[in-house]
Order: sequence, then C-alpha cells, then structure tokens
Amino acid sequence: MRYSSWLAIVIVAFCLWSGSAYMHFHNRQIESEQQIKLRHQFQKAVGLPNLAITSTARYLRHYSITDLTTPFQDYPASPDHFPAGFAFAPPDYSNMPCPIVFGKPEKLTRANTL
Amino acid sequence: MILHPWILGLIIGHSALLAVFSLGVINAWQIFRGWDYNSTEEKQFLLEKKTYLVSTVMNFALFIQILMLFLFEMAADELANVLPGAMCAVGTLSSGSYGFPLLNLKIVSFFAYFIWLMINYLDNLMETYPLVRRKYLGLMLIYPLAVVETALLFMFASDLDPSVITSCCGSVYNEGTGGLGGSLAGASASFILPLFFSIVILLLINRFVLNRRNTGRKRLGNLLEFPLWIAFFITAIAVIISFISIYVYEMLSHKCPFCFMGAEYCYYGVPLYFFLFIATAAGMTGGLLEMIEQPQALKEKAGFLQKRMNAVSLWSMSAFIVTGFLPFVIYYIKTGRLI
Amino acid sequence: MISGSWFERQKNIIDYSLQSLLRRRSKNILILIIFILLVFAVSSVLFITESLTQEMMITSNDLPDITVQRIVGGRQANVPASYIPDIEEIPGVEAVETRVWGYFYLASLQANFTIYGMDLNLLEEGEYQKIVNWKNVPDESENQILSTRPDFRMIVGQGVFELLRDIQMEKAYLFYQPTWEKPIPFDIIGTFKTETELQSNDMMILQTEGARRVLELPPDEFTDMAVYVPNPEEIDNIALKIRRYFPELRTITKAQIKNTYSSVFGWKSAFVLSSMLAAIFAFLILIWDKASGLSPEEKREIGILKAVGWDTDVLLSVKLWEGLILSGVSSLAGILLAYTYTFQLRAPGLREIFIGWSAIYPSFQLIPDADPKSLLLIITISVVPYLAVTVFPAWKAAITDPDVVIRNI
Repeated sequence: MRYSSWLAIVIVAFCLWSGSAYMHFHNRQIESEQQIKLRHQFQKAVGLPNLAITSTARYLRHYSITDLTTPFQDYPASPDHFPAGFAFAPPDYSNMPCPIVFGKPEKLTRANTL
Repeated sequence: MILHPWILGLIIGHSALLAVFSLGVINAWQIFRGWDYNSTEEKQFLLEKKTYLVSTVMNFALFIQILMLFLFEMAADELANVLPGAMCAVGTLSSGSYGFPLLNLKIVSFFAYFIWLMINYLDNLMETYPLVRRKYLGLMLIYPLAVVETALLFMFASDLDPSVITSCCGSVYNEGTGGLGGSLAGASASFILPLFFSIVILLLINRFVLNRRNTGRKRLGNLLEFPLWIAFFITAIAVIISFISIYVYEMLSHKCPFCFMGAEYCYYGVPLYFFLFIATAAGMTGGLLEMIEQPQALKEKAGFLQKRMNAVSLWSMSAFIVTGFLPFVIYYIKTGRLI
Repeated sequence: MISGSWFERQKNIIDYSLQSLLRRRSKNILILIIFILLVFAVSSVLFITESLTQEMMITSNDLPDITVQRIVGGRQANVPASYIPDIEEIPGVEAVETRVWGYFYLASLQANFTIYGMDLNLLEEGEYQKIVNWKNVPDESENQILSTRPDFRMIVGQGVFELLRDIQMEKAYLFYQPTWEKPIPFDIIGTFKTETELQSNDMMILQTEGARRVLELPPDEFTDMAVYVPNPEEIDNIALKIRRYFPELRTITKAQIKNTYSSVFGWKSAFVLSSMLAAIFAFLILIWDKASGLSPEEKREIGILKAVGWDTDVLLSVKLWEGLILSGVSSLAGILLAYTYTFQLRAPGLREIFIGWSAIYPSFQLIPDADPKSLLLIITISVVPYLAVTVFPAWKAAITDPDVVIRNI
C-alpha cells in the first residue's frame, strides 16, 4: 500500500471524526432551542444578570452590577476575579496586637504563655 | 488597540509574510546584482540555487496573501461585534482612516503577486532564465507594498477603538451619503449594468474577433486586455454593490458588498469573489504576457501560457456572471417582477 | 522518476515525504504530540470562553434597560421609595420596577444563595408557567395553612433543591436570621426546570414580603430599581438624566452589562493563554531546532537523491509537504480533540479554572459555539508560522550538493 493512501485514510478518518463532531454540534443546537426559550422567559421574570456558575462571592455571582470596590469584602482570600486579585495576597493580620479578646481571659493568658 | 484573537491572527500572518518576503528580497537583490549566466564561477552557481529559494518563498507569500485577504475580511466582520454601531465588515473598515486603504492595498498586492508568480513560472521553464534581472527588479518593486501593508495593519489595529461609534454598511452604501461608497451605490443599475456588459462584450469581441487574426492587431488586442480587465474588476465591484446585493438581500435599501460573505447568506460571496479575482488576475496576466518579445523560445512558451490564462479568465468570468446573476434570476422567477 | 500529470507527481512527492517523516519517527512524533497539545490547549480555552460568553449573551436582550443602584459611602445601599415618582416622571420612561433581592449564606453547607423577591402568582400565569416544575400540590389540610400564609412560599433552583434535599428540607425550608426569635418555614412550591439552571441554579425566588423578612429590609425601601425604556435610542440619555438629578444613584444600562458580558471571561482566558506563552515559545524553539538542524543522515540522503538526479524544486516540495502534513494533521487533531474535550467531556480540569470554587455547580452542559471562521483562524495561526519557519531550512537542505555530502562520507 502506498504511503499517500495511508494519508488519504487518515484524512478520511479526520473527516468522519469532524462529521461526528458536527452531528453532536447540530444535535446540541436543536436540543438547546427549547432551553433557550425557557431561559428567555426566566430572564424576563427575574431581571438579574450573569450566570449561576459560581456563587462564591457576590461580585462574582453578579459581576455586571456589583459596586466598584468589592474585592475582599466577602472574606479574606476569597478567590478573586480582578487582575490584582491574582497577585495581591490577602492582608496578614497575625502579628497585629489583638484588640478583641475571644473567650475567657484566662484562656488568653494561657495562650500567651505558650 | 484591542488585542482580539483576529487581530492577533492577522498580525502573526503578516509578520510571517513580511519575514519570508524579506528573506526573498535579500536574495533577489544579490541575484539582481551578481547575475551573469555565462560565468562559471562558484558565485553564479550559488545564485542559481538562490532562485529556487526566491520562487519557493514567493509561492508561499502568495498563499499567505490570499489567506490573509480572506482572513482580513472575516476579521473585520468579527470585529464588528466589538465595535458599537458596526454591523458588518464595513463598520470596522470605516472606523479608522486605515481600513479601506489597507483593503485596497491588499487587493492590489494580490494581483501583483499573482502576475509576478506567473512570470516567474514562465521564466523557470527556460534553461537560461532570460527574464531573471527584470523579474527580480519587479520583486524589489513589489516589496514596499508588503512593508506598507504590514505598517498599515499595525496602524489599523492601533486605531480601532471600541468606544467610538462607527457607521454601518446601511449608511456607507447609501445614495444619500457622499463619498465613494455612496456614489457607487447611487449609480443606478440602468447606468452601471450596460457599462459592465459593454466591457464584457468588448472583452469577448477582443477575444474572438481580434485574436483570430495572426497580425499586429492581435498584439494590440492582447495589450488592450490589461486595462480592460482592470475596468472589468472595477465595474464588477460597482455592479455587486448597486445590483447584485439588492437581489441577494432582497431589500432595496441594503447595498453591502460584505454582508453576504457570512453564514446567513450561505457564504454566497465567497465563490463570487473567488471567480472575480481569478478572472481578473488571469486576464491581466494574459494581457501582460504579450509584452514579452525575446527570445523567440520564450515568446512561444509565453504564448502557450497566455492561451491557458485566457481560457481560465474566460471561464471564471462566466462563472462570476452566472453566480452573480443567479439571485436575480431566482428572484425574477419566484415573483415575476424586478425589485 | 517523477512523471505523469501534476496530480500524479504530487502524489509521488507526498509518498516520499511520508516515507521520510516515518524514517525519523521519534523526532516527528515528538513534534506531532507537542503540536497537537498546543493547538488543543489554545483552542479549548477559546471554545470555553466563546461558548460561556455566548451563554450569557443569549438572554442579554431580556435584561432590564437600566438598573439603578444607590451608592452611599462607596457601597450599595437600599433605595427609598421616594425616588420612584421622580424617575417615573422623566419623559421616555415606561415603568420603574422596584426589586428586592440579596444573598443568603448558609453556613452549615457553606453555600451562598441568591434570594429574589417577586410576586409568585405571576409565575403561575401564561408563558412563565413553563419554567417551573410545580410540586407539593397541597392536600386539604395543608391548603388551609398555605392560604393563611401565602407570603412564605418560594421556588428554588435545581442546585438549591438538591442541597436542601440532602438536609431533608425539600418540602419547606426554615429560614433563620440571628435577630429572629424563631425560624420561619418557607414552603417550596416548585423548582425551576433544569434547562434554566445556568441562570437559576443558586436562586431562591420568594414572595416579595417573605423576601423582605429574610433580607431584613425595612418597609418602603428596596434593593435596587429596574427602569424600562421602550426606545433603545433614549436609554443612554435617560441614564444620564437620572445621574444628573440624583448624583448618589448609579445607573447600569443594558449595553454596559453586555460589555461586561463580553469581557468577563476574556480576562480569564487571557490569563490562561499567557501562562501558556512560555510553552509556546519553548515549542517554537524546539521546532526551529528540529527543523533547521540537518542530521548527517538527512544530508547524506539528500546528497544521494541529488546524485541520482532529483531536482532542487522537487526536494523543496518534499520538505514543504512534510511541514504541511505535520502541521495540518496536528492542528486538525488538536481542534477536534478540543471539541470533544470541551463539549462532550465537559472540560474537566479547565472547567474549574473558569467557574471557580462554589458549593453548587450547574452541570456545565454548554451549548457548543464553534464558528467555522474561528476554526480557520486557529489553523492559520498554527500552520502559517510553522511553514514560515521551515522554508529556509528546507531550502538549505534542498540545495546541498551531492559531491559535498559524498566527500564527507
């Protein structure tokens, strides 16, 4: 068998593969028609924007209508969406004098002696 | 400047084109300076080898250029989603002052590359490369086109501003608007269609009447082909804008030569423009080949190539006319009236 | 040795190119695999970005025209009812809808729900009815209880429902806020159909009065307002007017929301792509090295071919076909793999990068959005630079003189 025939077989296999991918694509498009209709209705009923793919933080869930100063408001080290969030670590409070005393005072002293 | 994948793709493609072309031009310059066919020195031997490099490079450059022409149109179409006010490629192109010059330059350089490659092909058929110096001089003259094109592309990309509202094809190609697009659209079909068909008939007369006789008139006829094909290209674009587009969109007010390249119109514009470009490029080359006089052997081969080019251009022209007027015919049959 | 028509000739050349590719199997398979991986990575990122953006864009036209928030001290604050008549008076405004919504954090499940208050009776009418799976149709005894407290009903998204089922609260959920004396049960009268889960998954839609209780919103105050403007040309002007009249109000128009839609995943995809930049450069260097360095064997092979009478341009075509076959096959395979991975296998691994951490996931069954144009773009970006890089080495290889090579042996 000639090598170019092998290449032709590979190309035919690719065509079949793309054909099956296209079938999948087409079927999904048809399936999604009903889905899109329902989602239009839902959007009309509930006017909130954005997708419910992440609900970690309010500025991620409703990214489009959040206020402009929200990062780190929810809790420290919350996964961040904004460019700086990847680079800035959350503030380190561990060596600050602690003005708030949790629990009973003797517990605190014991913790301090340790 | 917006970093859109399409802009990135265009920049990558053009950088590859320019890099490869520069490689070709450096070698072309060496060949142009040192070429001496009768010499038996090693340098001449090396130069002959370099001609292979230049032809390969230019073949590749033409291939990229065609790809980039399509890609540019598609990129402009895609970028219209990002720019407010733009509905299709026209909006993107007219948003800055570099869009349309870039497109025109790309079309011109497509033809230049095509003609150069045909002459190169012809020259390579001969043992002695009789056209070598003229050919490489031509190549060096084409090179600035590629440089300017890349520079224009960068300026075009940096000029794109998503916050500036641009115009859409509905306003550029509108009789009420001034400028080239407006006047092209304003040219009524009753004026532009006879002009277009008279050029087509002139071309056919030239082909079938003048070229039959083997005299000086044949030479004149063939030389005439070059300007005739340019006129054909321009009027064809005008016909597309003012006549064909109306029947494709079935709407009197929509006259856009870009929108029908999209999927909504089954990529109708792709074969249309393909045939138009092939017809014009082949026709122009056929006309130019007549200029080759000496030596006799080359002239014979040129005549051969010319016949093939003429056949290609004729068939492509008919294909263009058939594709172009198909929507009109279908519309007429369906409704029994004109728009 | 090479004759016949152009087609036959190219076929023979391809034959030879394939043979020579297979002869240097290990090197070329390495290039092939890395090439496929690279195209695969880039195109699956592009696929996910495009189709997530598309998923958001689908419903963007149904959004309210202008969303109005009140900003106090840099934070969003409740909107008093006193603004409503003033905004309604602006010419061009059709209606002002007040909204009551917020979030409810369920510590035991570490889940954050979105609470939205509306008149649930609206959902029982007309087209809206179809988006809800109605359940818990009450029998006689319960009916009485229900009718006495119609304010404490809710419809939840599928994700919320599944979480609540795990804690045995699928009939009614007990809301509790620290300031309350005792928890208030809310009857779940339905769930949103799974088709809408990309939007409704973490939603709890409560009767407005109930939502007010849960969010502890004082009467006569609202979370924000939605302003409806029938004429799209006027939206920007009306938003400007609202801001002029009330500088403390912030307006977000539909167009602005669409803009954020188109950029929200752009940044993430750019981040993922730029972290791959190093890999891309490494690959280019590898290719340059592999393609430009001629091994002694290869040199000998070319020398012998030239000695038996092969033309330089045939050798050039051989080299170019090699590049074209390698790059074409691998970019096709990369794109198809990316399609299968993203839309059929639902992008395990990459999915987490794009949707982040969350207690409730939707099923992530995306509608494929692969434009033939962008496929052409991917092929162009991968094939053209590869060929451009191989042109010069190919020529170098093709012009090697037979005597040079044979003398070296």
